[in-house]
Amino acid sequence: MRALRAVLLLLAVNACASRAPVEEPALLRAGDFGAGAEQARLKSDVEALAAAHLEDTPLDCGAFDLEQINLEHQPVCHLTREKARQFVRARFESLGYTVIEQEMEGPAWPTSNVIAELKGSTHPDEVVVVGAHYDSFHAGADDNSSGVAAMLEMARLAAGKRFARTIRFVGFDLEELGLVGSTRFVRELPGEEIVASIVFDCIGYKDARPGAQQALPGFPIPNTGDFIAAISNEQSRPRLEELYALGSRLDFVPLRGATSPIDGSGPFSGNLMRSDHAPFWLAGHSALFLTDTANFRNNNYHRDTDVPSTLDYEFLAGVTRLSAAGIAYWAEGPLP
Amino acid sequence: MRHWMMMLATALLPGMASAAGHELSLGGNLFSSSGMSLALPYRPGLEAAYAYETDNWRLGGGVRWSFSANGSNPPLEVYARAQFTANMGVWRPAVGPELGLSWMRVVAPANTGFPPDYPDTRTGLFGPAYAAIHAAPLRFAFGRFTASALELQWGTLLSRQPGSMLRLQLGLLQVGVML
Repeated sequence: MRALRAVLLLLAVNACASRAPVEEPALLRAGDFGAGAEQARLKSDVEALAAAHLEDTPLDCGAFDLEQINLEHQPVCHLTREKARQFVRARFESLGYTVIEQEMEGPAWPTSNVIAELKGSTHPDEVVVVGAHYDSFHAGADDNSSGVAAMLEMARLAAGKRFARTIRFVGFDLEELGLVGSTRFVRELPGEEIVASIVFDCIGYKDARPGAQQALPGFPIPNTGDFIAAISNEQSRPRLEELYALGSRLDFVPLRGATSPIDGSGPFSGNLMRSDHAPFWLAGHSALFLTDTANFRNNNYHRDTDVPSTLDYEFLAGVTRLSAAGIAYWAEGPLP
Repeated sequence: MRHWMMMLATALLPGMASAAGHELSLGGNLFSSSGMSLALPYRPGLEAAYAYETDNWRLGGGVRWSFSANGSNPPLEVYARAQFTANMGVWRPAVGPELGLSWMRVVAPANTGFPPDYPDTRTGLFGPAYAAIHAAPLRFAFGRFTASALELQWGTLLSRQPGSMLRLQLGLLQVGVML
């Protein structure tokens, strides 16, 4: 067992080992942009999204073979999405974005990704993607109202500003049924360059007590759950190093990074591919996955106890500020 | 009575069993393909194999068939295998590499009702070729007949990143006859 753990540790590369240089003017600009994220707005949005999920009608679970599903891990009879999608769309529109609902058919279950875009002023074909899935089991406060709230807050910060590159905010549909919306989104991507992507899934839970953080195979981490994990594959590693460099200077939130070898789909990285960044990796696009490590820290994961009162909003605000600084850095803005 | 005792002794006593020849065997197994953190349920299957065996080597191949259908692919695989074997009386353990073509690659639980978009995308990244190590530690020869229990196989689909999809197989019981 000890040998296996050693192998796993070798496969993971802590981003602390290397730091990308970040130029001072870009750092200041990104830091100022990120610092605008407001904790109170995040809390309000998480509460509103969780309420929307609870008021919503769950998907018809008669469509599933419940004997084939571990209902403790995937309580499909408590999965909702419609009201959260309406919330995301309404918020994007209120911020002045033109919203596209990417309606997609597939072998089963139509999906609708909600997309808002801020066109780049000098490099519009170079895109920075910010994504979070809006479907949830039960109230889904951490999973994934926290991620959606962060995306909406970053959309608020970016609204009306100019960036050299395009920023695209995407609410992904049906992540909980197997990364469905993000897979279809990536499949339909036009021939454009994804400079960076940042995907949120469970980013609001913190427990700093020793022992609160369980070990995550392939990722050397402390046993205190007080950090945000950022996970890349080899292709996305430069973005991780830049985010780490920004984070170490801006000090918004403790960050732990890991790089999964090659395209990220290796034998020991199953847990590092459990969200909407995975289709990006498999298609050869850059993507960072930000998470509080979900069930490796949060005992409320996929339970009816995943409610807004369990989250740490200072922590969520820190994650949002760091991520906002990241997209400002990658999208090269806001421009004067 | 004496005749039956002679036959039993011939079958069981070390050194009296034949070591070289052609073997045909049939057996049942449990098969799973998985990532390290994505353990999929084992699926039962059958296997028919041929091997030419000497005192130290077994060379052959076979066909496996899974009871679980896998979309449009036939739930089959064909393989060639070379094994080093030790002739220790009735005990004939064997271990060696196996190369094959598999249409049983599955990256998600079947029949859940979940949309298959992502599993199909992952599956599409893998070709059918695989490599594995196959061990038969509890293989015995009783005269013309052979029996092997709890065979173990561990391998990977051959892709751009070997190891992305591991294959694990547990042989339940394989019985054969030397021609």
